[in-house]
Amino acid sequence: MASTAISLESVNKRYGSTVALDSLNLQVEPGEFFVLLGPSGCGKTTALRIVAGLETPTTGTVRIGDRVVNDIEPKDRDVAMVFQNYALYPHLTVRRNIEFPLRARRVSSHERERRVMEVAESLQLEDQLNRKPGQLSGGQRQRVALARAIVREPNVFVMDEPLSNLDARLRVEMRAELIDLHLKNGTTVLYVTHDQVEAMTMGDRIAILKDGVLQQVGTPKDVYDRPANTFVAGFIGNPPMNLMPGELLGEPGMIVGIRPENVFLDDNGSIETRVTLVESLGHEHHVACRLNYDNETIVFVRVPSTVSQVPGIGESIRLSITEPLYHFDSVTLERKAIKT
Amino acid sequence: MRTSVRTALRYVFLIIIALVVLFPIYIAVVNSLLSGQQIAHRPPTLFPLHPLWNSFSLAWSFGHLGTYLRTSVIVSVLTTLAALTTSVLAAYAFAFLEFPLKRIMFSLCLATLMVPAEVTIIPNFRTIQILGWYNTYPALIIPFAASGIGIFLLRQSFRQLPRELHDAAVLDGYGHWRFLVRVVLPLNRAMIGAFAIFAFLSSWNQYLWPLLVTNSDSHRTVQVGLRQLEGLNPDQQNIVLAGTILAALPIFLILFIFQRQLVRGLTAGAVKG
Ligand SMILES: Nc1ncnc2c1ncn2[C@@H]1O[C@H](COP(=O)(O)OP(=O)(O)O)[C@@H](O)[C@H]1O
Ligand SMILES: [Mg+2]
Repeated sequence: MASTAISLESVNKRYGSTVALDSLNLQVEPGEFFVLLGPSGCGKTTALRIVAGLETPTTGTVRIGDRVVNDIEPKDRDVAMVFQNYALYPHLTVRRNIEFPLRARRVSSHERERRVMEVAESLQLEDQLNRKPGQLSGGQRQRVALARAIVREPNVFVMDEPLSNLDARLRVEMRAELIDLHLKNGTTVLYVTHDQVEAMTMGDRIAILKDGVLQQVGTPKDVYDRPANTFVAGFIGNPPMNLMPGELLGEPGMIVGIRPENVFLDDNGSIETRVTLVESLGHEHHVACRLNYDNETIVFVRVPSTVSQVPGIGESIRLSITEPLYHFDSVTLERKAIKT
Repeated sequence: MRTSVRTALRYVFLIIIALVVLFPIYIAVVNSLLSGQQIAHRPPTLFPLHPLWNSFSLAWSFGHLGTYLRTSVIVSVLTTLAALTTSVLAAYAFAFLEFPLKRIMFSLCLATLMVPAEVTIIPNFRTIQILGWYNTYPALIIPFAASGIGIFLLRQSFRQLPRELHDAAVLDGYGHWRFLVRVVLPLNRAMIGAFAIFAFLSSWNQYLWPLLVTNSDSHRTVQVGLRQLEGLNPDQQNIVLAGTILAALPIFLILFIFQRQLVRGLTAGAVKG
């Protein structure tokens, strides 16, 4: 078995003067569920399309397994892609959609039937096989798109925001289903999303991308506990990490970061603030407070619903904080690791 | 309440338009069933109490309509098939392929739409002569075997397919040919059908060009052949009209059979957009 399933080495992609990917290096391990996370327009789709072979990198090397695939046709890369908008063929039945890739590969009709049934069963699509995509719900369409990828039994799956068109509840269900599928068949997945919750809950590892530049690669715990810079710190976690100007051991020009769950309502706290916004989610409340000594800075506090006294908007409250504190260089925005 | 009034007004308006359009056709049918003297009678007869059906058989035999109709069918069917084939292939290339000078070539296709047919008639006639095609089927078909409007319409329609359908097919190992046949054609049936009808009608209704490049009855189309009937006496207008109706009959049939297809194709862009 190859040491990496997918590897991008110094991959650049330009569209005219737009730099979609800037010297991207990524190594995806075999069997890994690898998530590419970043805001819209950061180059996620471009990276996937380069792996799939739908785009050629301007410079750089793409490997799948231990083959360099830069000059290999998409169909010969053994990569199956799931598209954001499903890309089902509206004039074909679910059965025909699922077996579409098999027909191209001239799989015998007997074998085709067997594989379609097997996949349809595992995704609860048996009863939909004779319907057209237009007659299905969003979740069912998503399953058909998955089935069409799975039926190929590829070496690698690439998925481009496959859940972003589903409503919130279905998204959570499908998340679990996807993880389940991945655990069952163990195929390498390169998964793209702009949703940090999806990334955190699904990924074995996460790569965070911004403006075509890789910010950090690590396990969900890594990127949460040790964000490489202010961008990662602010992108992961909801509400985002509080970032404010400060100093470290007397050295000014620092940005200090603290997660909202490490800030507490505390009548004896040393930080005086006024409440500007309260969002109640049921299991917890997100309280935004403006610092009295620095009107510019808003601090988010995560208040568990077990706290009975939730402050109202405009109320003056005091806060206290606990470790860990994060320190970022205010010029490079990189995190400074402090040895204590 | 207000919308129902508006709907009623709209229908009144449409009915008036329909009457204006249909009236000449109705009069042609009525007059074809009257005798020559009755046609000349004033006030004109609006309903034939004793229709004379024999004008149709006279027109058929006297005008050799059988031969002409056969030629017209051959020419129109082959022209339509040729125009469809070239338009589908060119539109596919413009919609899905990247190649040098693509934009310029597409602009050239569009530019042909701006050139009036009259401008090209003489050079085309010279070409036909040089090729030795005078009085042959190729002379009637080849000049219309490619269509700027067809390429344009189909390309617009093809481009409405989500890019991902093409990407998915490429990943699954479908070449251009199979993607065209399995996905593009079935999903653009409405527009392709509408263009086929359009191409057939324009070919069927050609007059000047077939008149110019043929001189024998064996290769004259029905529109040109109808001129035979002009040699009749002025009091035999009914036979001329009967011949005209016979020549237009295939058109009515096609419109009747395919009208839903046609409307769907012409409004497809509006519905999707
Ligand atoms: N075919 C293209 N032509 C020109 N620019 C493109 C093309 N595809 C993507 N881009 C640009 O590349 C950048 C990255 O796009 P994309 O990979 O789609 O981002 P994401 O999927 O993360 O939202 C964007 O600025 C986008 O405008
Ligand atoms: Mg994208």
